[in-house]
Amino acid sequence: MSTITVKSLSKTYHHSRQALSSVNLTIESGRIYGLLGRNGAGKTTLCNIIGNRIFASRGTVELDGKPLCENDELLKSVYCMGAEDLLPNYMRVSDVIRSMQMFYPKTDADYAKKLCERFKLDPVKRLSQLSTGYRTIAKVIFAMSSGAEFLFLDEPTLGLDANHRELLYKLILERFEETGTTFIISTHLIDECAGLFEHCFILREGSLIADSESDELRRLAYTVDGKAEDVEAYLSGKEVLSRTAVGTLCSACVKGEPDAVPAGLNLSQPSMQQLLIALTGGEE
Amino acid sequence: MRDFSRYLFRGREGLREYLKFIAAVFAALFFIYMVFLCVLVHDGETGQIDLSMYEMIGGFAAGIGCAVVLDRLLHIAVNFGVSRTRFRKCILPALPVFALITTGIITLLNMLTVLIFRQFDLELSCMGNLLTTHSYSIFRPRMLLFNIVFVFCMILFFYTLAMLYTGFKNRFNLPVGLAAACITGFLGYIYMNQYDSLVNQFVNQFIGGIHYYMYPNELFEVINQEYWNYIILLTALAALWYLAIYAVFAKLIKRAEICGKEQGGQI
Repeated sequence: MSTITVKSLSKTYHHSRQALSSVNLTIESGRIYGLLGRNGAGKTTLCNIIGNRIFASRGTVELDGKPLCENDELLKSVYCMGAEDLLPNYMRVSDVIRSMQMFYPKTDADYAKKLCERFKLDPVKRLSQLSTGYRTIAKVIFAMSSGAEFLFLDEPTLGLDANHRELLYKLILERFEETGTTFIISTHLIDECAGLFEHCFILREGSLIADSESDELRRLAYTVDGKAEDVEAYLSGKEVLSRTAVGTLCSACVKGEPDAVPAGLNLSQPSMQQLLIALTGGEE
Repeated sequence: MRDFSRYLFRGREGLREYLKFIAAVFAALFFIYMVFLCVLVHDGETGQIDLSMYEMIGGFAAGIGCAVVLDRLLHIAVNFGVSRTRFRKCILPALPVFALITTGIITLLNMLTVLIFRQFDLELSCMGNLLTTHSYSIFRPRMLLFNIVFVFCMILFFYTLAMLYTGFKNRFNLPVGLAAACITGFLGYIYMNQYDSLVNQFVNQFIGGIHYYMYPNELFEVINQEYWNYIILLTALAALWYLAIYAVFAKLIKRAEICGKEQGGQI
């Protein structure tokens, strides 16, 4: 079983913006991970560093104990589907798949062809001729057919309609079942993807604030709602992650296990999205 | 290293894309020569015609083609998990091979164009500017070899500008890349056109030398040097220049961040 270990990873850009700050995490093969966070949290930077596109200011990324940075043999095990386009726009989808076979020896061209048919993507089309959604689909197809052990999908649902998103989730699960490929999915459509994630990493302003199994993460907090005065009374002395008041009603996300709840208040499990909003600074 | 080298020569974006680009340029230049020939024939001109386009314009176009291909290759390589180290190692021997192929095309086109002009009693001198003035025929074996070496070195010079452009563009941004290539190209041009520049002295010396070997009985201010010494010296000069610029390119590429954004990257 292969493992990617990220140790004390920091990245500062030229304009002194700290994109990542001492991030430590471990990615084990054969699992589906969610990489979550708000815009500018550092998700893309993390993916780009692991994919050897950019370099860390401090810290290391290791695959099975060996540094991944600038290691050609190990980089074959990782495919990073970035939100940004690196491939020339005039390349045809079929050309990219053919080219990929020279770099990733385990590229499954037949599977790529099958995926093109499932998504109704014409492989003869050039990347420049594709809409935003289909360009994302093309990039997902390249990643999933690369045969790499670790697939980093940065915004794989960008511009995709609901039907295509459903198909994508289904295909990710199918591929995961068949090959045991590790998926690390960075997305903002959290509730839609929540069912896929076994484990979640949550980044906030470049720091890793949660690294837990999805079930554990959901148990991290609970939601209480009811009349504002009752909720306020209940919340005293508790760690409130977020609070929303509408008229005389109030809803709050509280960290920890729920204790005895007074009558008139409702308790529920927050969705992954609600939890993320609560953990990453509410609705600011 | 083999997979990226294979892509360079057999892949979609390497040699094939480069050849497509320069083929279009050379086809256009050939067409211009033919139009020029029609005009000359129409005007009833005969004799010596000096017009050197393949080397200068073709060489410049080869440099642009090299810059475009090199930049795209770097992005493709990074996208497909090729390290910068491997990229640099593969580029070092690949570019001289590209230059050699381009030189071959230029030489063949030169010969073909000269032959076509000869059918109409026109002697076209379409070699490098310095040699054009001495009216040497490209069909003489020694001139042919010198021409090949001369064109090869000139293309290598344009390639080095392309390397600087790619290196600076990807390490900093597009304007810096363009400025680096333009300034180096301009300085190189100024230097080569200086009367006492090493390159100019060398080429003039060479012309004297080669003239002596071709016409040993004629009175000509010659420097008695071996023909091969000139060839080796010119190649060595070009190789030194190429390696020096490659060192700069390698240094720039080593930590170039390729993430679709020119500066800063997406967080």
